[in-house]
Amino acid sequence: MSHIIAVINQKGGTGKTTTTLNLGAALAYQGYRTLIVDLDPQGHTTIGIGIEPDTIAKSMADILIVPKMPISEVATPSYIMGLDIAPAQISLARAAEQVYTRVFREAILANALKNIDYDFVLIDCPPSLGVLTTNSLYACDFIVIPCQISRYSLDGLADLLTTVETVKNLSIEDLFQEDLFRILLTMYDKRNSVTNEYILEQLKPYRDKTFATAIMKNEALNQAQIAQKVIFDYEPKCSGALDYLQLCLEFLEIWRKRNNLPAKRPNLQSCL
Amino acid sequence: MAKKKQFAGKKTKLAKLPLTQALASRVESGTTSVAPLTPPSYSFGQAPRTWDEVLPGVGEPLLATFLFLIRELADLTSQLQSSPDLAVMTNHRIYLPPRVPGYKPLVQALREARESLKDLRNLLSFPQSDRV
Repeated sequence: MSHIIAVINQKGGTGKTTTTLNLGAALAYQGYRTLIVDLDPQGHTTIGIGIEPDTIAKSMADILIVPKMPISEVATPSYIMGLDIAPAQISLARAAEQVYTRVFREAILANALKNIDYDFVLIDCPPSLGVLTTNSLYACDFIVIPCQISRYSLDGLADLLTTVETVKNLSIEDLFQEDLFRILLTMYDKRNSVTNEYILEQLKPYRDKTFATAIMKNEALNQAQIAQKVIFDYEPKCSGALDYLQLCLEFLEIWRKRNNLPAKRPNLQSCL
Repeated sequence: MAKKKQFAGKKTKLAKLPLTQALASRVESGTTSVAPLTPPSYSFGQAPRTWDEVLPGVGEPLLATFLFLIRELADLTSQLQSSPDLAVMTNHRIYLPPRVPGYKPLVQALREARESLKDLRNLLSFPQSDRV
């Protein structure tokens, strides 16, 4: 059974795409068969893994438009062994508009992901709370919320949690009883002490719902986007690579606890 | 006016959310974790100085990987020992450097180990007839 993880925050620029790509690559390097679903019409995850959007034959737009099309028809291997991608391009924006008249439109992605042969599926969501994000919320069993250290990111987090309650039909009690989401602090800069102190205080009630790993601000993560590589292949010894490897191991630990699986030693053929 | 004083009374959407209030009241009533969120820092910033301080699989992942590698090699050495008495005596600790290495030498050691493993794979890939 595949575990489906949605990477969501409707605020732009919080590190959703960077997190999807590097967490996905880290999982693949740890030996897990992983699929990244690019659900953002900007197609940055697709570009980030080295695929040019204008060379794609079939994409996530087809999944939305063609009824009952399985995701295996659009998934394509990336340059990393064990990591496939269901790519996106700008046509996904038009496709998203077309499905507004469809019944059960929020279940299209969940249906396309049925009977797939992956350990993990990571969905990179667009920076909005429209039909694409609703589809990913409906399909997923875990949510990663990248949150930049800023006031507006907290507002985005609040709106997202309200939407999760609605889409998953959960009460507030269920939302923290079930281990459904984790907040991931991104672009953390130790020098911004006043802002950091304020934001961390605001997030204090969410202590148990926040990854212990934080992604530090790191220029190599930006440069890797230009090189169209994941951080482990661009600069494996930088702090960004270390942070994402640590995030991957923490995520796997949570996943094992949720599924009552035994602890596993780190894989030597990892991202180093 | 001091910067922090200007934050007074400014409530975020998150603070007004019923979930936040429910979680905050749980924290106050002690039914959930009360540990405050602390600014993240690198494990290597407070690197352990002795191996006894390193908990495998719990601490920094590079150190855990390094320890795992050393243990596996020590086990392998034990299995290859000709004398069973010597095999029992082999302990992975004898292969550990006296001090816990810092980030850079650790990464370097693991990289070199990875390269050696690649050589091993190449050696094992040779056709049988090429071997002596």
